[in-house]
Formats: sequence, structure tokens, C-alpha cells
Amino acid sequence: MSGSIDIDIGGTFTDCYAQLGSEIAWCKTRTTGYDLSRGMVQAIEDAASRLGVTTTELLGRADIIRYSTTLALNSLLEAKGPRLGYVTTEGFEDNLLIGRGSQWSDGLSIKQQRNVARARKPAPLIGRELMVGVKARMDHRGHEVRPLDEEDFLRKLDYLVDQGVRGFVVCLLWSYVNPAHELRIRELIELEYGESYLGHTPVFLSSENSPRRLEYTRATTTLLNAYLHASMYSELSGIGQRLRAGGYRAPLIMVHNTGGMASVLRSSAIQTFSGGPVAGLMGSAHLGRAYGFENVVVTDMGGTSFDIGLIVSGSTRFYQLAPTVDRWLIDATMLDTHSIGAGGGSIARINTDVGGRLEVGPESAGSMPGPACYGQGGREPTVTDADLVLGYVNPARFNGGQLAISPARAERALRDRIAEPLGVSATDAALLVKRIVDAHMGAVIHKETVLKGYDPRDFVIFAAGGAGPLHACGYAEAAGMTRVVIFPFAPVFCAYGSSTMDVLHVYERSAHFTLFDGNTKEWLAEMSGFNAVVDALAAQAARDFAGEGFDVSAVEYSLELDMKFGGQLNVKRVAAPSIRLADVTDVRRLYQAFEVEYSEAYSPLGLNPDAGVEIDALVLKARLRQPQRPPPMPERPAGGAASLGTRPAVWELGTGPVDTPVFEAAVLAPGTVVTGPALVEAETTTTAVAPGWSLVVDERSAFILTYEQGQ
Amino acid sequence: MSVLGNLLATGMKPESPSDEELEAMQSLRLGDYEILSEKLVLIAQEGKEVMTRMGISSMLHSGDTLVAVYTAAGDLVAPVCGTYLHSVTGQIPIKFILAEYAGDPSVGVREGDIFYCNEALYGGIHNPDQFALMPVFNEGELVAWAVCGAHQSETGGAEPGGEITQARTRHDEGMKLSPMKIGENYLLREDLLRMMENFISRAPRMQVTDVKARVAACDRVRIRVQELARKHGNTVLRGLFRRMIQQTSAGVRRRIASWPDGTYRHVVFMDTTGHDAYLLRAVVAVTVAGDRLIIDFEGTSPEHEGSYNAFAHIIAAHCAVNLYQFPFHDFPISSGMLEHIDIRVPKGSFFDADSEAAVSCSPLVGALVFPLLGVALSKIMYSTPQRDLVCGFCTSSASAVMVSGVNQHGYRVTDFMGYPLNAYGLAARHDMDGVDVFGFPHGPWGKAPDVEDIEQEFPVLHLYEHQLRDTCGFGRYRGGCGAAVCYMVYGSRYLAFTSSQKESKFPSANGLFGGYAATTLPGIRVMGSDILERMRAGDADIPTDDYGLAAADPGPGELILEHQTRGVSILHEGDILAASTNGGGGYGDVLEREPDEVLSDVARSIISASVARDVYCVVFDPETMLLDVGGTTKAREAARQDRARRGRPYVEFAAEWSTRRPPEEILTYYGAWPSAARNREVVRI
Repeated sequence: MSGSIDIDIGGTFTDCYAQLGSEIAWCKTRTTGYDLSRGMVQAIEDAASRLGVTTTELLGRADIIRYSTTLALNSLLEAKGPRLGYVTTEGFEDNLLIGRGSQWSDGLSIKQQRNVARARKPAPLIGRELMVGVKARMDHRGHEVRPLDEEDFLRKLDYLVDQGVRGFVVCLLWSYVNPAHELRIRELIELEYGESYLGHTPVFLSSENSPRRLEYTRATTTLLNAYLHASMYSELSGIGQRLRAGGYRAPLIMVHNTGGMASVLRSSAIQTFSGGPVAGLMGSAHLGRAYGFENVVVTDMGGTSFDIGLIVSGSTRFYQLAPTVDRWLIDATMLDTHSIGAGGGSIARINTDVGGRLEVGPESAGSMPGPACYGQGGREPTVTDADLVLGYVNPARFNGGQLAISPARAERALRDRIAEPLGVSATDAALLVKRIVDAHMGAVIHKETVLKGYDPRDFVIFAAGGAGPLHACGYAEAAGMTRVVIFPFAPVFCAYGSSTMDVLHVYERSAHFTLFDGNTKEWLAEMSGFNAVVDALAAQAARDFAGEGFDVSAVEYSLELDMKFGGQLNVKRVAAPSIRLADVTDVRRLYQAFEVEYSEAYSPLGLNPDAGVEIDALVLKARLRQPQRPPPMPERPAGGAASLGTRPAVWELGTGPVDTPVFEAAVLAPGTVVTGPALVEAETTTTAVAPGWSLVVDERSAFILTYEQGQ
Repeated sequence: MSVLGNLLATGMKPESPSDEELEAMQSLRLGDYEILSEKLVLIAQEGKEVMTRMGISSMLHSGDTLVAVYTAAGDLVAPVCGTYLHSVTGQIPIKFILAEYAGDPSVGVREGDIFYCNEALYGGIHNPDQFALMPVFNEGELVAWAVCGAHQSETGGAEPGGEITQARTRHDEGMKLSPMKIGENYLLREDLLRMMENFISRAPRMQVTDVKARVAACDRVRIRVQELARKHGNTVLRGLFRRMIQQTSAGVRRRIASWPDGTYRHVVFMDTTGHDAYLLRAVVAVTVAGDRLIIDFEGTSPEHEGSYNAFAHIIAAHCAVNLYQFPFHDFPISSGMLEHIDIRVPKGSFFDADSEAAVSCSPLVGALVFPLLGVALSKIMYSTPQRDLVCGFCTSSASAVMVSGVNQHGYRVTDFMGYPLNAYGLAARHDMDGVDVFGFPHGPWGKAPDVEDIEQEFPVLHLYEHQLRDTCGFGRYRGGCGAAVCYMVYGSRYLAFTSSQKESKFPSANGLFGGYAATTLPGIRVMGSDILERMRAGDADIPTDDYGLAAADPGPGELILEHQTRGVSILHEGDILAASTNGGGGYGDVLEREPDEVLSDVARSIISASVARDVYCVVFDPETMLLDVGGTTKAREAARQDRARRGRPYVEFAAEWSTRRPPEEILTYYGAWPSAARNREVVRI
């Protein structure tokens, strides 16, 4: 009887989802920021106890522990990385400082970007005095134009070492096409300053860390890996030691931004920082399959942000166009989990400059001072305050009853700052705040869905996060959607998600091929170059799986390509119909796949094969399928009344509160139908069933909410 | 006045509200305005993403774009801008179509129509800016317009690149389409696409792909607005649009009213006509009078036969860039922005030239507004709650090198080099330095390409690309520095280069409150260079910046230092062309800058040791970079005493100063000295 443990460490809570044979348990503990392994072990102990075994037994029987986190970035945000030296092509030493010009706007909201007068670039992670250029040059085909001047480099190396650098980031022009100079630089560093001389001073080559075209993002991606490397590995070694001490014997596996995962030894910081939301997305894909929902919008509304991800035809194959980590553009394949500043802490304000327009967010009160109702000094009304004034939230059960909140403070803030200036009641003001934030979230869902070429009405929403179940009807309606599903394990949704994931490694490389020549009107005839890249990536995958102790023969491969019409700036990622190209029929099939995806996402008006059709990069996915389990069926406590009576809640403008039925989520029997308006309370969340909606409890205790058209 | 003339004069302001619109405003329910106005912005964003992802021109990345929703009458209500220029000018073509074609059975305005234009005389900035426009109908009623525009770096003119520096009249500038229908029933006409390809034969692939990108984006916006109208009804949409215009207008009016009344002035100079280096003047007087703002350019030099002229509405559009990026950056953008702002441009000046004038370089003329208003508005805002928005903004150079030829893949290509374009410095603020290599002044959110982007598509090899020392304006807070880039023709027999940059002789990014102006910069070329051979041979001494390139022995080649406004030059393989961008102006007295900050600038190569010593009067050991505190105090005190010795009463200074004048040979196009009044006939054929 085997087991698995899935852990997701967030800023506030560490979530655990554990399986032992057919038994399942989940729990949450406080994240221990000073030592993450402590909170993690505590979560495992709690899960073991819920499963009725000892921690040692659970760890000893676990075949796999999967771990996701968004905390890899803390070192970045706190600027706690090591002193690094930057080695690049001579004449281009400033490229990290220039950052495509408007570097100051990367990672900012549109509102912040518009305030040009206050623009500032982010503080560089490497000082200009530690950036050196080497006399060496390749061209775009990888041909050497200028040989590496080794003597000159060694002088600069001595200088960097004298300056006390503790690691090297190397990014030379066109190194992904021909890495010879980068490789030689590493050799020279290791020859001159081996481990015995300086201790471990790692060298990060861009051609290995991010073998993609465009030197700025290749450099930032490599730099962030180098910058986060030390703290991440010290954190992981702490976790590894504790788990081994507890009896765990298999490798610790980390969730990657790509939707894949690998052992910690084969994971870089930049590959893993969005692991939590990605795990949630992957879990949703699994649940979608189990429930027969092919198209899902996964939503997570927390305190400060609203995250969405998309599953189409059971696939999560959407990637961020220009991924940004903190204030740094990077180049990495990241599943598209779109985030906007809308959450319980979003602040509502009257903008008097534009005629008393009510605006909600993107500024957030965060957890400190938090919403006005927290009584921690926050004076400005937030979405959480509005939810409280509307009667949706039971103050006694907020955050599992662990945080005392004051409805009076919430009402005062809304009355003084919103209702009176607008000349409406406090409850109407609260309902307007909710409708505006719901409308914004709904509009973003709509935009993200249609930009990928899909109709949101063909999708179902999965709602998670502390505030998701409360707002889901609102943002679904605003997006023109009619069905919402809320799972009982929504509080540990990301940890559950990683438990459903296959072991997936993703390999990518920039490589330029002309699929169709716009001048000669000829299709690609010589396919060996293309196939050689595929073979090289596949060989790497086989080596990695073997190294992790997996059965290489069971690995399945799929290929995606970054493609574009000739001259275009941006690429469209397309699922290739076949891994290799055998003949011109395969080539034409590939173009047809591109044409279909391109038309759906943008417009058939934009098809332009006469400009030529090009491949810019190859992405090989190597997957080892894991046993798929059906969604868990939680036990319901025996006895207890489903109805908790009624309480006043506001649903329409101008009508004031109406008595609204309240139910206890844990004891609602399968098949129960709740018609809106109604409120369903769980340990840490409340589901608001809005007028016009009905809720059905299914056999796995999930809530299926449906908007009844015409009401 | 003709319909068009009237539109150019007044079409930027919102139409007066109709009774129907005022009534429709009453139909808005609580929350409709907030929710639906946000929705419209997201719709425009969606359109912009579609256009950017589909297009080719480097300017799609660099941000010279607009996607927007307009009212049925053609007033702007919801734009997403790469540059605020087009938020002002986009509405004139719509109003023209409505006035001239809607009732004309040979054209008409019907559902499924696709219009197109790129003519400055009809409300555009210059003909590289091409716009697609689509009417949005619901239940048979015209309810809105969708517009998508983007700069495209080729127009089929006498020189490649769209900005024709050697043009003498409009007839040298290539394809200019007045608003015309290029599609019906949601179908583009293939014959008209072919016609455009024929005009733009230096870059036919870019032309067709980008027309399609604009139209596809426009159609996406059309679909979304139509859905909105179906869901909420035409009346709600009408009321919503009018409310959006009114709310912006009222907010702008209140802010102006809160400013101290008065007239605030500034003057800058342009150092070229596009053909040759001459001195021209641009003047502004900004008057705050109660709740109205009057921006008057009277006193600006007369128009001329060169290529650097503009029209009045183009200057107004450049005013919008300053206004929307600084004092009113926090307002939703609509045509209501300009309702209480009057912009007066003297007819016959090079800011409002004759219709036959060459204007494809008009953004280089309009950009003089950036430092003009940057300083004038800063003077207004310094004593208001908007003090944090005080900033001299940018240089007026705001352009780049253009490259044309056959690339290494066999395609004809012509495009702006987006790197120097997006690399100008931002001026200093009242409490901090400017931003180094900040961006493209017209659209500062745009992106410069990577070296690997350019080298993949163009037959060039970059020798260097970095921040350029001593380009910033010095001061208590310094301006952001500019940058330099150097191209060598590589992998092609030859390539054509042009450039519409300027400020090689006279800077425009003046300092604020005692800060220095930014530096002037020459263009550099090396013809017949042997650097490629030397690189291959492992020569250690390859130039790594403009200073090194200008000082290096050109070997068998010829070193040419030239104005950065340069007509076509043909460079063969191995030849070199370097371009650079200006920094921003400084703020406050150089003697008040913290010595540590000065040394940090030296260490980071933002300024040279000589500037630290001679301008900032900082004494330090150049080897150890250690500050000599006592020496610095003494040097600064000496500098202050020297200033005191040079000081004179203002009347005395003015009397002497007004006797001075520039050399006669650079005043040919200035106008009469010193008034700049028109003093010669302009002949165009």
C-alpha cells in the first residue's frame, strides 16, 4: 500500500494533501518563514494524524513527495542574493541595465505605468562595476567572427574575484546557437579558481540555463537562477534533511511553471517559482476530466490577487507571453496563470477627479493593516468590508474563527468614504463595490478566454481561494458564464493539484527553420536539422529520467513549436501533429495546425503565408504518466443540521437586507439543492448563492452552481 | 472654411451633447458607468494584443500604436495607447467620413465596412501612421467606431523608412491615402491590398501583414462593442459614452482651476530643416486663466522648404502626449480631455505649414513640444499638489536609424531600428534623478529589440550598444543618460541607412531650475573600414563606444562625423554607422549635488571624471575613487564666489545679451532676428 504527500507552501499557509492507500487527508498549517521545513513537517504530522498513522510511517510508505511554492522569490524581493559577476560580449556590458529601454515599466500595473513622472528602474541585481565584456563574437548563424581573447578575459576574471564575487553569470551574444565561448569561459574560471581555491563559486551559462534567442531575457533568466540558487538550495537541503530524518527515501520532486516536475536536483529557481498556481491548474485539468468538463476557467480569489488559468479540451497548453518575475522580464515557459490586483483586500475609493467615480483596486490593504473590519488601523473600505456589510460573511467564522472582525468598522468605513459621497446607503455602497470588483474579474476572464480564441460561455468556472466561493456567481455572470464548481478541498487546492500530476520534463531550444519560403514558394525539404534538434532534446530527456530512477521506456513525447509568419515579432505556440518531420506531407500538416490555432486566437483575416512561415523554437515534453485517482470523496460528519437558519443579506440595490437562508457546508447531503439567494458556510469559506443561481451538492460534496437563465 | 478645415481646427474637441445623449445618460443605472467603462478599456486592450501579436513593424513593439473605441459621432471614449498622439488625431478621419461619405451613395457607411487612411492632411500625424476604422452597428443603428493604428516604417517615398529627411514637398513622401473604404461585408479587397503592396515595394510583406493586423484588431473591437450594445442596448451605450467624455472634461477643468493663474513661457531651438543644419525657434506661452488652459506657440519660426514641418493638429497631438503623461496621467482618456484646453498654433510657422509642405518627419517637429511643455507645465505644477509630476520630460530628437535592403534570407526589408528609438533619457525630477535609457518619448512603454532580434532579420553586426557617458543634463538631480549603438553591414553587399534624429548642434532638453541641458551628439560613420577583418584576426583593439570609434585610427577607411539627421547613405559590407540618443535635462544647481552621487555616476560611467571635476566641482582621487571632502567644499565655494563675481543686475545683463546674435549663415530659416517673424517666401513645386 503506497502513499504520496503533496505540499504547497504559500506566504501564510502550508497546505498538505496526503494519500495512503485509499485513505486521504488534507490540512493547513501556518507557514514558518524562518525555516520552511518546520511548517512542512508540522503539516505532514497533522496529515499523518488525520490518517491515523505515525509521521514516520507516512513518510516511510510515501513513494513520492511533491512540493510547490511561490516563496522562491523571497530572496529576490528582499535582495538577499549573493554578489555576482556578469560576463558578456564586449560593448554590451549595459544590456541588463538598459533592458529593452522601458525596463522601468516591467512588472507595473497600467495605472503605475501611466505615471511617467515617477518612473524608476528596479535596482540592479549586479552593480555596473561587476559587469565585464569579453573580446569574442559569434554571428547569428553561430559562426565565430572574433575569437575569444583569453588573456583579456583572465585579467577581467581576476578583477571580478578581487571584487569579491561569489558566482558568475555568463551571457554572450548568440551563445544559444554556438556556446563554444561560454563553455571555454567556464573552463577558464574553473581552471583559475577551482573549488579548492575559493570554495564553491558557481558559473551559470546562459546557453545552458535558457538556450533561447534574445540576449536580454536569456541574461535575466540566467541571472535570476544564479541569484536565487544559494538560498533555494539551502532551503531545500533543510527540507531534505528533515524528510530523510523522518524516514522518507525517494527523491523530493518540485512542481515547475511548465506544468512539469522534476527532482530538486534538476530544478532551477526560475523553473519553480510559480509552482503553486500551476499545480492548481493541473489539478483542475484532472478534475475536469473526472467531471466531464473539457473547458474550465480556474479561478482563485485571495486577499490581494485574483488568479485565473485556462483548460481547453482538457489541456493546459497556454503560456505567458512575456513572463515577468518581480520587475524582471524573463524567458521561460510558464503556464498562463494570469493574475490581477483584485481580492478581499482591494480598496474601494471615490475618484473625485472624475466626477465621483467609484473605483475598486488595484491598491490593496494587504494583510497589514488589512480591511477596516480587521481593526488593525485600516481606514479604507475594502471588498472584504463590503462582503461583511452585505451580510455574506459570518464574523464568528471568518478565517476559521481565528481572526476577530468588526462589522461596525466595515460599515463605518463604507458609509463615510463611499456611501455618503455617493448619496446612497451603506449597503448599496457595499453592493456597488462587490459588483464593480466582480465585473472587473469577469471582464478579465472574458478577455483572457477570447484572446485565446474561445467563447467563455463554453466554459465552467472552478472557484478556489478564500474569497472565490463568495464572489464566483458575480464574476461568472459578468463573464457571461453560467456554471461554477466549488470543491470541498478548495482550501488546499494547489496541494491537491500536484497530487494529480504526471512527471513531466520540458525541454526547449531556439532554432530557426523556414517551413514555407515566401520568395520561392517552396516547403521545407531538408528536415534533418529539425529532427536533429528533436533527437537531441529527447536524448536529454531520456538521460534525465534515467538519472531520477524512472523507466525511460514508458516516457511519452510530444512537441510544441513557436511559429510565425515571416517577419512577425511574436510567435504563436502550436502543438505539432508529429514529433519528427518525415516528408512534405508532415510539413504541410504542421502548417495546417498552425493556421487553425492562429485563426482561432487572432483572426483568419490575418493569415499571410505569402510572407513565409517560420519556426522559431522547439519545445519537447517528456511525460511519465502517474496513476490517476478519481477525485476524493470526503467523509461527512454524522448528524448535525444542514440549516443554520437565516440572516439578513443584501442582494439588490435599493432593497436593503432580506432574510437569507444559511447552510452548513459540511453536512449538506448529496443531491441537496439550494436556491439563491442563500449562503453556505464552511470552515474557512462561504459560498454565496446569488439570486438566479442554484446550488446542487454532488456525491463528492462538490457544489455545482448553475445560473438559471431568465431569472 | 471647408468641412476638412473645420474638422482639423475643431475636430479634436468633443461634439456638443445631443438631447438624445443627455437623455440616455439618465438611463444609466448605478454602477453602469464604472463597470462598462472598464469593460470598454479591456476591449481596447484585447484589440491591441491582437494587433501586436500579428504585426511585423518594429513600431508595434516600440509602441507607436492606438486601439480605441469612439462614439457614433467620432469622439474618443476608450483608448489603449502606445502613444497618446493618436488618441487626439484618430477622431478626425471618422468625423470626415461621416461628414463627406455617410450620405454619399457611392461610398456610404454600412455594417461590415472597413475604412483605411494614412494622410496627415486628414487628421493623421504623418503617412507612416496607418489606421483601420470600422463602424459598429447594432439593430441597424451606428453606435460606435473601432479604430486601430500603428506606425509603419515604409511608405514608398523618395527615401526608405517613411520619414523622408530630404523631401521638399509632400510629393516626395510616398503613399498617402485619404480615408477610403478598403473592405465591405467584413472582407478586405484584394485589389486594394495589391495596390498598397505596389506602393510599398521596399517592404511589401510588412505592408500586407500589418494591414491585416490592424483590420483584425479593429474587427475584434467591433465584435466586442457590438456584443455590449446587444446586451445593454444602444441607449445605455450612448449615455455611457457621453458620461465618460463629461467626467474627464470636468476633472481636467477642476484641476486647471486649482492651478495659479498666470502665463508660463519656454523656448527651444531646432538645429536642422531636415536638409541642412540651421537654427529655428519654437516658443510656448502657457496661460492658466481660471478653468481654461491656453497653449500658444506664437513666435515660432516660419515654415521652410525642408522636411521638418508640421500641421497645427500634429502639434496639438504632441501637446496631448505631455498633458496625458504628466498633469492628467491619472484621468481616464477621452476627447473630454481637451475641452477646456485651447491650443493655438500660428499659421505659416513650421508648426503649421502649407498643405503642400513635406511633413513625413513631423514627429521630429512636434517633439519640440516635449521639452517646451515639459518645462512650462513643470513651472505651473511646482507650487500645486502636482509637484511630484514636475519633470522636463525628454529631448525632441525622438527618432532612430532606418535600414533598408535585402536581408540575409532574401527578403526586401525596411524598418526603424527600434533600439536607439527606445533609448532616450528622461529628465530629472524635483526629488530624484531622471531615468537612464528611459524609452521612446512618444510612447515610453514601447520595447527596444534585442541585438539578436535585429541580427536575425537584418544583415548587420552590432559593434556595441550601451549607455553613453556624459549625455545627461547635469544638476542637483541629473537627467537620465542616453545610449549609443553601432552597426556594421554584415552578410550583405550593401545596405541603405537614413536617420531623422537631430540635436547634433543644439540641444532641446533644457534643464529645469538651474539644471543643465542634455548634450548634443554627432552621428558617426566609417566607410571602407577594416574592422571586420581585424575582428576576425583577433585584434584586441576594436572600438567599444562612440568616443573610441571617433578617436580610433580608421585605418584604410574614412571617419565621418555628421549631423544625426542624415539622408540616404549606402554602406557596404564592413562599413560602420553609429547613432546615439540624448539624455534628459538636469534639475537644480550642480553645486548642490551630493559628491557621493557624483562619484557613483563616475564609477558607473554615466559621467566622466572631468565632468565630476569641472562641472560638479568634486575633488577626488581617480585611482581610488576616494572623495576629498575638504577639497570639494573649497572648490565649490570658489565656484560660488566666481559666480558672484560674474553676476550683474538683470537690466545690465539683458542689455548686453540682446546685442548678441547667432552667425548669419545659420539664420536663413529662422525668420527675422530676434522675433522669428516671417521674412522670406517659401517656394514649393
